[in-house]
Amino acid sequence: MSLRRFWSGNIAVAEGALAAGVDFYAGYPITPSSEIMEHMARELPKRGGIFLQAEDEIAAIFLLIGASWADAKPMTATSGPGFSLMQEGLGIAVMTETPLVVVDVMRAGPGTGQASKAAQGDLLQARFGRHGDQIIPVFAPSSVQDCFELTVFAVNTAERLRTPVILLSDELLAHTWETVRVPEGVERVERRRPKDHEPPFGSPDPRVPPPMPRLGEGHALLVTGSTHDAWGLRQTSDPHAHRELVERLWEKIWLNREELFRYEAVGVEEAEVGIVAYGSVARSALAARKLLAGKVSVGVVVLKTLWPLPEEPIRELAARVKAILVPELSLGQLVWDVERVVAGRSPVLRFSKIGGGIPIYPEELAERVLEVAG
Amino acid sequence: MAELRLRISGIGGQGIVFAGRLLAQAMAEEGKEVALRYAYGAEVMGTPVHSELVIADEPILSPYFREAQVAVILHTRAFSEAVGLVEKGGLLVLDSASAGGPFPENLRVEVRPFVEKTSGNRPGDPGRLAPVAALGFLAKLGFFPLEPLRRAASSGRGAQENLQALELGFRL
Repeated sequence: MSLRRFWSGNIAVAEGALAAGVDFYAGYPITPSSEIMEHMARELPKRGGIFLQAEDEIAAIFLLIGASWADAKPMTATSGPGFSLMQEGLGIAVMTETPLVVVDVMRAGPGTGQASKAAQGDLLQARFGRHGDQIIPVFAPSSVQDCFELTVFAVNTAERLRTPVILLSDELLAHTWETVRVPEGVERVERRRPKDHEPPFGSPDPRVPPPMPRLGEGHALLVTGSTHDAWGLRQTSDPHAHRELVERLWEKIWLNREELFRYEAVGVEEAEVGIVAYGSVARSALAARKLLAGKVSVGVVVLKTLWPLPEEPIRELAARVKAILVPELSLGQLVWDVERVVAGRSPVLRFSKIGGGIPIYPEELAERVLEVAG
Repeated sequence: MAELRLRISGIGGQGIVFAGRLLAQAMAEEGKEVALRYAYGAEVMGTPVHSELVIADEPILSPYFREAQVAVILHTRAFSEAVGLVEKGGLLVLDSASAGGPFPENLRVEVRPFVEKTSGNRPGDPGRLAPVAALGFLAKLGFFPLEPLRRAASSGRGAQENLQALELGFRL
């Protein structure tokens, strides 16, 4: 059984968070993410959760870290300028293995850019915005249905792997309304608790995150962003301690990457020209494929996990087509991935559009595919 | 029409987003597949705003389109960026005060006094019922039925004046 709801992308994100059990939200309003905050401000207190408007985004991300250690499932939403301010806190959350979800609704940058206009310029920031070696899982919805489902997945992934998770939406999707099929219940993952003196920052199997104690339950707990051993004691000079910790944090995500991969591959088997896209742009790619039916066979790979990157569907597409188009609302970020993965097996062509929040239209994408197909 | 692509353009403060949501809600409750997207400027009020809808019988692949089959323009400030985005043979519906021209060829053009008839050009009112009146007009032309719009408009703040604006548009 499912219920039909007519929601915007932003409302679907907020509803997904509530369904997944998010019970703490702190944030600072910023276009085009503000409807998420407004919805959480209305709904969270009614369900026994806590909503806080922070004085800025730096405070918001650190409130999330504190709340998570007090056993909350925390989330915040922001946009480019606020996302930049949250990077320091995200790095601390990686190092302290703190489950939390940050939603970045992308708008045109850099700087304050065009506040209400769509862009996809934050992909590389989502992956590499912090210093040091680390992987934060990044998911990207391309429909309002995805906004609901991937938010649930993001919250559950944060809990399962004891990690921060980023959901990368964009202004177009945030302000698109579609019918959503909402299941009556969704899976809720709960973080593991320590048993029998298990260390809070060590694990014999790097695929399995250590258990997370709850503050206030009597644990002598040290939580630090500095290099630490399995019990949280700072080890700021020992090369072995650093290697052991940072490699384990990396492997915790990398060795579980197959579980994180979400994508759609449409019409790849018979494709002459390929398109790899994510977010709102992926919808135009699917529509362009339909516009070209009977003229050119187009294969579309819609990426919903952006980090780690599902490489296999891109390789399969490259093996079949005469060229791959990578449409993006940026001057080219995903295209680097596709070039790296394809590694010369087929030409990779960027299709960039920025400014004014104007979508990449299905019609112009279809026109470009026709040119490529010759 | 198996799929209708409609763009309503005006300025912030006219209720362009509201009208889009009203029509989307009405059609969704009719069991249609609906996608609505709206865009506004950082200033929110006074700068160009668009609501774009796809109303279809089948699941909608993309909510985003370049050329509308039907474009409604309700303010001169929205005219230049919206007037070129109508497909050949499409319909351009204009408020009388926005009808600057020149219009692209191969379009059907309908001009009606939506703003004047709904707001009487009162100072400080950019025509905040004009978009709802335009929906009534499109219903008269047969793009969608009036009754579900009436139902959707009959609750919430301003229900009475929204219903009046719908009826007024239907008669224009």
